[in-house]
Amino acid sequence: MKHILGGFIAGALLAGILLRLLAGGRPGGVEETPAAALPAGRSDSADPAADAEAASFRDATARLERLRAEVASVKASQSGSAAAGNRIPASRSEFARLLSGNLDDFLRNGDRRLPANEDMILRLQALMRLLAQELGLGLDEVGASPEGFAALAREVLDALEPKLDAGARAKAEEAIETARREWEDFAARRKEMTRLERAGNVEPMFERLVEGLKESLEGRAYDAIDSLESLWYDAQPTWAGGYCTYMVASAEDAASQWTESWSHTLQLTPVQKIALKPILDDYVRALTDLHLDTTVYRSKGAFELMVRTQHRMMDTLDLSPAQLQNLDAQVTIYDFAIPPKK
Amino acid sequence: MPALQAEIAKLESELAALKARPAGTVDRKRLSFADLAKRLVPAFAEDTWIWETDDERTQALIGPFLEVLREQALEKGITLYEAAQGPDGVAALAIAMMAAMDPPPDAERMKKLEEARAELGKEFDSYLAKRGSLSRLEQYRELLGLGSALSNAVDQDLPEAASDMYWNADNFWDSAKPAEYLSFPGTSAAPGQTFDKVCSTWTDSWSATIGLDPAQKLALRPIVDEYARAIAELNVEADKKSTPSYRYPLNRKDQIALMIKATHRIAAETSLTEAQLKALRDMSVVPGHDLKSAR
Repeated sequence: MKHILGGFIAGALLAGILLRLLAGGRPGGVEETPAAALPAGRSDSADPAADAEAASFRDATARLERLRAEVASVKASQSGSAAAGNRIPASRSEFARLLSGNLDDFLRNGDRRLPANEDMILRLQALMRLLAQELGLGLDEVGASPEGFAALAREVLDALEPKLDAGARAKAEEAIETARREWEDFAARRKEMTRLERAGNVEPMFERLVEGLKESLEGRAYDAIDSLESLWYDAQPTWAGGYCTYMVASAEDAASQWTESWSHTLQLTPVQKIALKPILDDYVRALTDLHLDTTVYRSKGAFELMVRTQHRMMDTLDLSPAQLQNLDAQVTIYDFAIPPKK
Repeated sequence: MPALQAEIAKLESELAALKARPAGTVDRKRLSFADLAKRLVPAFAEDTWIWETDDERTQALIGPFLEVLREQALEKGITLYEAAQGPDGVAALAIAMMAAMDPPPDAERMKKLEEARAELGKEFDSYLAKRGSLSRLEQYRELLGLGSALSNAVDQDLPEAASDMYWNADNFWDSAKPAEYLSFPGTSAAPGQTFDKVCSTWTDSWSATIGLDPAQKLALRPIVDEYARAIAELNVEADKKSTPSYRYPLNRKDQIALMIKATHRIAAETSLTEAQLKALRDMSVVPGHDLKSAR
């Protein structure tokens, strides 16, 4: 939660700065004349025409200030979209209305190539991008965030006709609340995690949230959340945590190949590359042990090894900020297989 | 005072525009492809993260790119895929990327590329003029035929680095597409099934999509059989060109042509209602990819 608040605060600060720039920067505008700089004592003047002009000037200046404040206020209310620079309407309530209005058509024909369905997917993706930016989250994380799928599901349920009865609504809120507590626990640890690690944490959280919601609902409400889930999967622009098995001649071959390819993608120096090799030797050895261990689900075991290896690289390779960014972008779980000899 | 009044008038007008705008939208200068190209060219030169769709740096470029395409689509009342195929879509981005190279292709070549894009523009306008009368499959067929002048110009007249950049733009679009199925009619695989089972499955799914009643469904079955036999022949053709390590794909245009033919037969022979006819025109599935294994 702390992080989310941090995201909000950062967003608010940014919006504040932008607003200040917008309010202050007036290219080609008039010279500002602060009220304090108005000639003192003009009201005592014996010249009624000059007094009238001064009053008129003050009125106009006050009107100008009021207008500036009002423009800034309206812009602030739209600043969520401004942050993402999105000209296409993208708000949860707007999407919720769209889905509830199109639900029957979507259930009848969910072909994503139909313009109306494509439109929903693209709008949902725009909303995900907006939320990620507003909340300071990765695109993979929005789904599990309380402000993501859960908040959207709540708006979809609100937009449905007939309205959900109180009992069903309470059950749905319970599922949302359970997911929120889980998210808070994750958010407290999030900063220390690599992106792969974050993705590995939020994906099951997202699944549990959706399952929890669906279990609490039936009929049209169930259909709506089920449809939202399927559209969410289609709209999701990134899926960190892909598991990839590379065919190699031997375990040593895997370590050598990955030393080359990781050095390239992380943009390591020759010295760092030398230091990477023993880390990958250890990784490959641990993968080999994992292949023999039938008690561990292989991709899960590989995920944990990969995350541990990423942390070891961060701790020992003296990575620059750019290299750290490249490491954070390393979101594939590497595994290997050796084809049987013929 | 006049300057002050002018400023007040300007703010009043701005406020009115802001209030009139639908919630959740803001003014923003349209992203220029030239600006995007300036960021894409060095990214492709670095040759690392830009190839990763899941990389957030890639997504930071994809988001604005999709936004531009989406606005074009909304303005023209077309889909994202169609907007991408038009002269202001991927072709425009590709040319902007080539112009952003150091050095760019010479002026003569850039002129040829722009001429080829203008040719694509004419083709696209003709397509838009008849679009409303076409089913979705017919639209796909038409779109597949666009842009040959541009791809010829790229293949024949450009230095390798520049033609690579053109294909980089195409790859970038591939990464940006929200889902694979938005780009091309889907296929439904049927590995390891009998021919009869495949035809039954397709009859069921087409009937459901179009909303046929049981009598119409009976009339559909021979049309599906005919389609499946033709697809099986295409599979045989593909097999002849395949090697042990590479399965040659079915010809897309042939596949679509067969499905269009099937939809025409359905329209002619199954007495469709208006709603069913609309569903048929919206159909965009082209099944048959793995029919080879059905015997």
